[in-house]
Amino acid sequence: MRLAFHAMSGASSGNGPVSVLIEGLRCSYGAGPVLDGLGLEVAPGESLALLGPSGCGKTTLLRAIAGLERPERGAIRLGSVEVTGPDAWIPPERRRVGMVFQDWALFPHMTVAANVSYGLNRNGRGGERVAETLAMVGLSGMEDRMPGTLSGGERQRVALARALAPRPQVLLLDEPFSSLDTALRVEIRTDMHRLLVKLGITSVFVTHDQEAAFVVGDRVAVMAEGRIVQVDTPHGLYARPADRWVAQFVGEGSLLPGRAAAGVAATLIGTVPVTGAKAGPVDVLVRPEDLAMVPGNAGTVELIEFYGHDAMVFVALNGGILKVRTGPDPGVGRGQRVGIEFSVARGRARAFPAA
Amino acid sequence: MTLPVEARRRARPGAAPLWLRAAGVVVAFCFAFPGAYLVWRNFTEEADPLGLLFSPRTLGPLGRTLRLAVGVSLAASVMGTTLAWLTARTDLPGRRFWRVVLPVPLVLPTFIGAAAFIRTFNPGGLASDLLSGLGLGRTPELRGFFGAWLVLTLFTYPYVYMPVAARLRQLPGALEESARLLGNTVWQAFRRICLPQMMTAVGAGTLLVFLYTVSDFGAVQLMRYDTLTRAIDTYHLANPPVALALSLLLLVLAAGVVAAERLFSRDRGSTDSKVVGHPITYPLGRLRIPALGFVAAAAGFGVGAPLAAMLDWSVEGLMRIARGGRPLTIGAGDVAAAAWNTASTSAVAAVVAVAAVLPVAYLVGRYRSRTGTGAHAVVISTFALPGMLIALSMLFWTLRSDFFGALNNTMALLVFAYVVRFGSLAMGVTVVAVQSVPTWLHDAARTLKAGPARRFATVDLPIMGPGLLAATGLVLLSVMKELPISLLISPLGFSTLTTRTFDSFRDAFVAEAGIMAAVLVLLSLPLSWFLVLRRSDRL
Repeated sequence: MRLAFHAMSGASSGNGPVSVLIEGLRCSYGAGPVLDGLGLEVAPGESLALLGPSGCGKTTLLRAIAGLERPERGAIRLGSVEVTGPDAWIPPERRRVGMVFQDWALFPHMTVAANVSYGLNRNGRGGERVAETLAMVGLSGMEDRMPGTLSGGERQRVALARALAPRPQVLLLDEPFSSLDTALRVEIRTDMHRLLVKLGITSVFVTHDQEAAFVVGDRVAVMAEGRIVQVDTPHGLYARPADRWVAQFVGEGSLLPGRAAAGVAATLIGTVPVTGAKAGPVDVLVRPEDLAMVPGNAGTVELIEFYGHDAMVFVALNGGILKVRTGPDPGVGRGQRVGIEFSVARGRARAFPAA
Repeated sequence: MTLPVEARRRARPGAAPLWLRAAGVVVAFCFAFPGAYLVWRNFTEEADPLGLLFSPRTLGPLGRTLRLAVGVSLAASVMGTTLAWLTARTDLPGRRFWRVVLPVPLVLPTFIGAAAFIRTFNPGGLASDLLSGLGLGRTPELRGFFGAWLVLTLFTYPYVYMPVAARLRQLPGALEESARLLGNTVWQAFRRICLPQMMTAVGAGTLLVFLYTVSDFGAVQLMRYDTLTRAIDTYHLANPPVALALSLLLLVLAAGVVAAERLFSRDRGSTDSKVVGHPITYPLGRLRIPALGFVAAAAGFGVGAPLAAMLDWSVEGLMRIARGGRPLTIGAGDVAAAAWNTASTSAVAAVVAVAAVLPVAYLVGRYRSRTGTGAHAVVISTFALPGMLIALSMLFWTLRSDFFGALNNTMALLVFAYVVRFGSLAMGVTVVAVQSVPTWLHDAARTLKAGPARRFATVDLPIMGPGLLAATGLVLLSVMKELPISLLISPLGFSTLTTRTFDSFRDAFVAEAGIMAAVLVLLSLPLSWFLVLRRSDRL
């Protein structure tokens, strides 16, 4: 079965996970470029999250990898095979790329089994692969159901099974969690994360939800205006954003104006050890967990949001708001005057030259 | 930080394949051909086309056509609107029943109605007998303007009734209730809220009635009222230049009506379709009985009378044989042959028509191609082309051309004419069917290794299926009751139920006409039910 399958497939280059290499990609719709000279590399077996605000071109990039968009310029290689390039074009049906669409795109007129077997070659359709894949996503026994009778979570699993059944080299997921309600989202996310790790398949998924990107992505690529702004591990991205835009887009935090000299910056909340900028006016990125409240009267507690495992205190300070993360018991009350300081234990804060 | 304009989530399907665009151009050409040929012949055939256009021989029929069309449009719009109001907004007894019955005339051919009235009211007819039995002597003969006007009004009011009833049922009662709370009387609320909301539906429906009337051939022929279509039929062999001039006038008239219709329906007064609420029902009070009488009369004359007449004639004919009287001129074999001809040609024409508009539907529905927009406009505009003109064009074309002369008297030509006549009916439904296939399903199929043919067979066709079937049914139903094309360009010796009914009646073989008409109605009724009548309650 497996051998026959690989003999049939088009862009196959072996059985292990493959890399995805994208160079100088340019795509446009009418007005301006949606992707503009974009480059990206995904390692074999890696799960890469494409994170960006809506309209940044991340879905277009995903569709270009699948072959559903034909870029004007640039190249895409899957493993050693150039699937898009100046002289190369492999249509989507021969790329061996699986895709989970945003609203699942299940064929409404086919049963679950027919959906899952759709991508299998003719003699594989009746085989065990369907049951095997459905078992993999936890939907055994649902073969004869119609998509319309399934819950959102089940549909997502069917879409995943359908994409995985033909053993794609690369799995693409377009906003895989956005159509699910919050409670389900966390559960499905963990299940899918576990499955991706177990399969060791190269995967790229698009999301505008940084939590999903951080949780499932081995690395996260941040996109803005048709370009990749930064690629890093979730932690690296959070700790060392490449520029002030990424700093504000990823994670919560505030940019405190200050003046840097000799590795420290003088700010509203005192001196903060900084890295990343030369002497002169800077903006210092402070995350809520970098800050602590101390007795004092620099600011006023405006709001307190309780999350269960922790809490966030909004402190009005000099015309702005600073968010401070505390333990489950913030120990302050609304309207109380407090002082704020940077926890030295956090190391150095990231500073950017002032705009 | 400025972000690019909201990215288009919906995938652009890219440019349409060349072959599809080529197919669209060919289809557009075929649909444009009959009309264009008539215009071209007009200006190449006759030395003085303008002189002929404005001669009494052409202006007379034009005047009568206009007179009839205006008369029918006025009457049908009043009748249709009143019926719609009564069944949608009042406590009229038996509303549900009337809602099912009132659209029925839409699916009966007008010449059957005309025949029914002529035979029923003229000497020897059912009504005439009844009336003379009451000592009323001779009833006035139903012929000419009055006869044509009466029959066409009774058969075209559903074009107004259906859209207006739909509109009235959509209008949320909250609108009128707000008007009342803001100080309006019932009548003021009707005039200021309902009437403006209804007017676009009334206007659009009335223009359809107008178009239908100028295109009609069966009723005016039997009523001997000399309109453009009847004059064309009279002259088409004896004096082709006059027939051509008449056809040009008819073409311009029909095109003008459709252009007006397009303008009318452009800004349909739009209530937010999400506003839900039950329409208000007004009590009729003392008007209950007169209102019921009016609705019953409409249904009785428009639906009951033709059906009763058909039944009367066929039963009488059959009883005559049983009594050993003059035998029928047709046998069971003739009926079966005509029924088979009707069913098979309309089925073939319907399938061909849907297949023909499908490429155009793809071009506009999926690719939004400019070629497609043009082709779509051409196909839709043929909606205005009366069947008589298509028949005439096809006839003159094949008679003139040596090469295409071979097509004369062939089934191919007949089917082609039907397809051009009714293809526009399939267009809208087919575009909706194409658009009902989400592009992301295609994308999904592509990433699952499906090529174009497999995508069409496994994704497009099953999802478009119901839509395409409805489109086929609409064409099928229309071809079944088509008259002028069937009369003029059927191959020699080939007759359908409509031509047999029409010929039998013209030759005064009433029993035969009744039997053929009854078979036609029986054949088309189930289809009418599924396609038109069943939905009319919700339309």
